[in-house]
Amino acid sequence: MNDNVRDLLLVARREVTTRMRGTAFRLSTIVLLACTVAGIAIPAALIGHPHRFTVAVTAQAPSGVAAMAGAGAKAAGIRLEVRPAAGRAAAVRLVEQGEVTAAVAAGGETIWKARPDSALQPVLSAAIQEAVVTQRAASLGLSPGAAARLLAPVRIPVTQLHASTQRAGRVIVGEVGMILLYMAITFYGGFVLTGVVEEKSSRVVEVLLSRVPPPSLLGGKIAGIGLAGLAQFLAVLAAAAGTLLVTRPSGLPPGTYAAIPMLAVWFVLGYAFYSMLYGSLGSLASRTEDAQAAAGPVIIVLVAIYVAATMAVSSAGSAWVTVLSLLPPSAPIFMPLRTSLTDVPAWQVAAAVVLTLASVYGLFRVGGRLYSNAVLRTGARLHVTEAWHAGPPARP
Amino acid sequence: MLEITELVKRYGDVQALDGCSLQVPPGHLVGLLGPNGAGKTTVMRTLFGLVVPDAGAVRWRGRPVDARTWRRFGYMPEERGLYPAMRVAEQIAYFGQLSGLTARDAAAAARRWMDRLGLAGRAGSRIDRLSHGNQQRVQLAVALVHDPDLLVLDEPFAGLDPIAVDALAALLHELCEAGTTVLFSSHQLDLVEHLCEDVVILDRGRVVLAGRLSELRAAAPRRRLEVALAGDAGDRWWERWSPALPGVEVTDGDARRVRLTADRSADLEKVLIEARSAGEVVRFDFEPPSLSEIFREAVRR
Repeated sequence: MNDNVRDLLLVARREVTTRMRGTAFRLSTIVLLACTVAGIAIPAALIGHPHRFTVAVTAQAPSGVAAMAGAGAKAAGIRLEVRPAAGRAAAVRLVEQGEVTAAVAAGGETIWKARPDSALQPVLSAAIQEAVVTQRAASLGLSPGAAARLLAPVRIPVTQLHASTQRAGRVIVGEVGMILLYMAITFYGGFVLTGVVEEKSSRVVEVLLSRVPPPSLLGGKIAGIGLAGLAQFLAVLAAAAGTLLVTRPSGLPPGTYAAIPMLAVWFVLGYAFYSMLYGSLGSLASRTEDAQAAAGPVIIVLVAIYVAATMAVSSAGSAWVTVLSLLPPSAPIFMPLRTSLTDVPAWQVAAAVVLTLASVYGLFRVGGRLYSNAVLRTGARLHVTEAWHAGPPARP
Repeated sequence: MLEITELVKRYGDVQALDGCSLQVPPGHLVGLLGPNGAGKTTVMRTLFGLVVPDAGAVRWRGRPVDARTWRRFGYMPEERGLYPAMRVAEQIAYFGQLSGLTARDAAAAARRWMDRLGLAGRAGSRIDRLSHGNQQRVQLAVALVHDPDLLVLDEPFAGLDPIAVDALAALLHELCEAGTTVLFSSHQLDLVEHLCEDVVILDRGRVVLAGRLSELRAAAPRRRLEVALAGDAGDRWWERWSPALPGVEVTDGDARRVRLTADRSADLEKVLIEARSAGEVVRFDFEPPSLSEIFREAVRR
């Protein structure tokens, strides 16, 4: 194995074990997982409908209504159980005791405890309608086959000039993804920043650099912290996907599950981009107190992008959002948001990925030089131009 | 053999190294001396590529140093540094791996050096929970874990108590006998005088004196002379004759004694004659200068 790669892997492994052993990491993982599960499950339980119903059908109810209700429920994604009731009085008792949600009696009368359930009622009404109309057709002399043809559902073509279906759901998915990405990038980028400054302020960096070239040290640190971060981020995404699958909240837009792995991809790209900035600017500071000031420009850029992204939610189709979703500093936040809100051409997603990757490489070259020049200089905080001109990297 | 040739390094207005050349023969223990700002740390950093010189070369065993040779060097910088929250054994082994040892060898080497340096009971302690002395030992173990061919120590004796100084001196001698080449810097000249045979004196980025200490002493341009009389000869009795002797300077004295430094050209015969005229001479001690005197002479501004 190439020595530089071996060094990088050794540095990365130390970072992963150090982070994962840390209380901050364990605690934040537990809190994030709990928040994710609760954040999805609680609203789903509050606003979602129960999708299991039991309905009592008396012998006097229109014939065939039980089978028709069953078929209708299946089409509507509702699980329906039908149980017979001896007569109207028995059916009323069952409804009163809460054994069944509703009952169907003679003449298609539906019996509810109080207000009819908004999901179940249309299913029952349609089934009763169908049963009664089938009976009338038979009494008019139509054969069952002719009746079925007469009553076959009418297919009504629907054209939407502007796709606005489940707009609210898409906004929620997009915003949650945006917040998760912003938090994860800031959090783990911050780890890289403090990691670099701590090595410099504890002076261990000179001992390290007498064995390891600066790019391996910076690259290993970024890779190690990134892996720990990715593990946590994936755990949160998996918890989110699992909770969604179990609770099945209503109004979940199509493509939600596909958006989840894309968030992981954009986390990797966004983290790579910003951690490179955090790491190289962090090397300009010698003390932990100076770290935030040294990384100030990155923090300002990230916050500005986040604020712009919150405004982009209401105007996802506008040109400036398209531009920002393609360009590297903002693409990791804007592109996943845009794909959640609208349909983005595949070539634009690919272009954003390629541009971000290219800029990460460029940053590795530029940031690597700053880091190499600055990381051994202690004392007052260095200016970027000072570090750039401080001479060639400590090692070629 | 470590060969440093004509190193030049400038930081803005500061000329850190100005044509610095020196050699360290294999298995030798060489003390690098010099006033503050002479360029000692810059020379040491250059050996590890931590500083890239503007001109000049560093060669080890006849070849320019590179990443492969750096793995066979051990370094203890002046600014000591370790990961504060990392455990002792883990830390030493980690640096061993970074120097190319396998995980298993690095763990074994860490245990060996912890035993050797008296850290055996501390394997699981965090660095920031250790005493200052023990932190120094871990730092030394980190420099030694991979059994380097060349050991470079920047001010290794700074802040050590006399017992720790003796232990470190013994260890360095042992390493040299086993074939390790050692270069260290120090401000404690009396210590260096007892510890090593070879010294290099650096001033303003150049080597002003280098070689075997015994040869440097013998070749020193000025020597020390002490004359003692049997009885009192009066206050400042030497002033009657010493100003007339070229190349002789009085450093101090009393009614019965005088200490002088004399140039190589000075006529010591005359000193003896003058002293005899002042009284019975019971001591006429002539000795080569101490390292401190050689040092002061070499870096005289």
